[in-house]
Amino acid sequence: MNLSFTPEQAAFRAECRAWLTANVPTTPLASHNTAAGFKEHVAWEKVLFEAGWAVVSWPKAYGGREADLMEWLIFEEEYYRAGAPARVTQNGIFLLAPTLFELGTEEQRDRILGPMAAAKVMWAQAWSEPEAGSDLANVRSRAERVDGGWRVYGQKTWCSRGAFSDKVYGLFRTDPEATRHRGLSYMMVDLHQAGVTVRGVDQLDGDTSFAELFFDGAFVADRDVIGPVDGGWKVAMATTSSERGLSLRSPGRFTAAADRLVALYKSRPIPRLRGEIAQVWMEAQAYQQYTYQTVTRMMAGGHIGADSSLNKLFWSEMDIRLHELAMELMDAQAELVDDAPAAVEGGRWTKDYLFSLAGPIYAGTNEIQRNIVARRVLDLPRK
Amino acid sequence: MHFALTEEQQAIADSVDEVLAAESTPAVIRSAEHARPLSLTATLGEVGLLALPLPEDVDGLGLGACDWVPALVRAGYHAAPVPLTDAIALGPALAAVNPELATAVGAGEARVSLAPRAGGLAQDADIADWIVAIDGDGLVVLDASAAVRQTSVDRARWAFSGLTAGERVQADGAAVRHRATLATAAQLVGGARRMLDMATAYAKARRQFGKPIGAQQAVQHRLANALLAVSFAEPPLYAAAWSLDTGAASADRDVAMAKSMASDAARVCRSAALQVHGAIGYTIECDLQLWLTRSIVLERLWGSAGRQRETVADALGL
Repeated sequence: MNLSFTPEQAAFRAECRAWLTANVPTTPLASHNTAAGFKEHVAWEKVLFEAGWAVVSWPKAYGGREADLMEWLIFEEEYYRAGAPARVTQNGIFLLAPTLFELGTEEQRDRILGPMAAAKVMWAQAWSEPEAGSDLANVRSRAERVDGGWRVYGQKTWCSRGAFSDKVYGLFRTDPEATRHRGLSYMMVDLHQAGVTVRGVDQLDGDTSFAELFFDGAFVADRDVIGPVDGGWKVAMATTSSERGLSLRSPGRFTAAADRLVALYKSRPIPRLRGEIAQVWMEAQAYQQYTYQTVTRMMAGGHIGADSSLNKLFWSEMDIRLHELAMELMDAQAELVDDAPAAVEGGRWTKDYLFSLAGPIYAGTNEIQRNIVARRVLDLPRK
Repeated sequence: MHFALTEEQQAIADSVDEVLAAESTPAVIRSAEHARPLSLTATLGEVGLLALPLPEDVDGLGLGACDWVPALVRAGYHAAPVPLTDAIALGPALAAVNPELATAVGAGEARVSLAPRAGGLAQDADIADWIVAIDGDGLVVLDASAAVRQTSVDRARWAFSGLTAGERVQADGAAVRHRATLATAAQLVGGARRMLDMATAYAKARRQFGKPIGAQQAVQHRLANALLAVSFAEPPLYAAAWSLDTGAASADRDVAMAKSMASDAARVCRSAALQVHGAIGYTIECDLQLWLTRSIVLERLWGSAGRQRETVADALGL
């Protein structure tokens, strides 16, 4: 047990902090879930990339600085502490990239990772379908063999920021005879081509970032299949476990939000809420400590495994409580959003509250996560 | 940053675990209602648990909270019917005022008793060789000649009231309180984990509607919630231990956080375990009660979750 940071880690933190302090925009960008705001966020990503902060944990060849997992956590803590913009590259750098590092080919890595890190190609996920939500294996989108690749048909939905992205990745059925998780392939699809229709969907928070994607013969080259044809399920599971695990929601996001909540309380105190605010602050700390524990184990060669489900349950439910408390502190002003003149902090807490409500749904619903915890960690029976 | 037990810390915890698995059985815990298992204290002295926080000049190991917290988690897992908190919390203070007695306590041959305040309950007051209470920033010696045993919901507990305060002892009262609070939190987390394990085993074995009740999603999700609570209550124990060992300015807050999270986790695991067991869990016959009643006591000792939250709120300037 040694909970001090090494001099190297402290120096890395200082370097992160210095750069972020000097470079994080002082005026908040427009919402990354709007077309205009997305562009502003892409511009910020290019600034990050040029300075070498876009993908700190990646190999230098792809624009990273080969930071280890603990340094990545430190970077994330500093990033949120500095109030830096949301990462619109996250679906690429945090979710697709780990899959490519683990299961992609050298050619795929060389071709895809650089433009992804530099925010030249923006990526979205395409998992859900009208008939495949929590039951992901019920995928109906299909791919037909053609010369040099595949033609894809079907519909994907709830693709976050799909309305503004260049490419998506997801599962398509390549063996029409197979059912469930067999006969699926993991494909990367270019959205800028004939045979693709993108339709934006207005979200609860008023932004249009969700997309429905309609495929009618769009082309996917052979080189854009990750892993074996008909073997996409295992590849997809690798992505979902990293999404739920560490990379989607690093603790710095919540410790920073908890500190902001403490500041909000001090600016408009309601004494009966003291204990609850202390509680959610502690939970953010506990999530950080739990993550240090997980990362220590992973750096010693361990795997995150089903712990990623415990993580997802903990942060998503804590995030709601945290934002509910902010709403209660704002009282009658809590309904005000989008720079309403009387809004608190430009309505940011309310938008974040709405987004927190989505936490138990995306990246695998919390009901599914509890099933996974019960079966894989507690070893409870299916029947 | 290395958030994991060292090999030595793991070895200490393992040796305590091994001894208590064999010697702190439900039968032994039950017998403690009528006669205290004094040999168990001696055994824990032999494996070195009681000497961990004592300085080396009184035959102690001179180790810190990071070393005894994992061992106390295991002690809580086995519901050891021995007042470990008192010895661990008072050891370093006793070594300064009475080295011979401290050596004997470390060896499991003598006993100390610590009350949260003069007028509070003191465990084993009838047989303890040194009884003190926290008194501001120091300690005060208690006289037990008129002490009366009180019946606790935890039948293995020998708690006394009616002690009278005597002379003050120069000691770091805050440090004693911190160690006592953290030691209690560690045992709570161990006990919570045990109640979860018992409930999980029961859910696999108990059949209704032709299948194990643990195959029902409602039962699975309740147990998943209990696992969530206990999993996230454990790292704060180690974070607080590190703060104590390094003399961090945030020690008071970190210990309060550990005890708050531990108390809540024990409460969540306790109600889940009882619900999963059903009516059998509500009997003295079922061993679950040994951990269930213990957790009710420990949850409040040295400050409940709510009181600890107040301490954290104060520290945050709320």
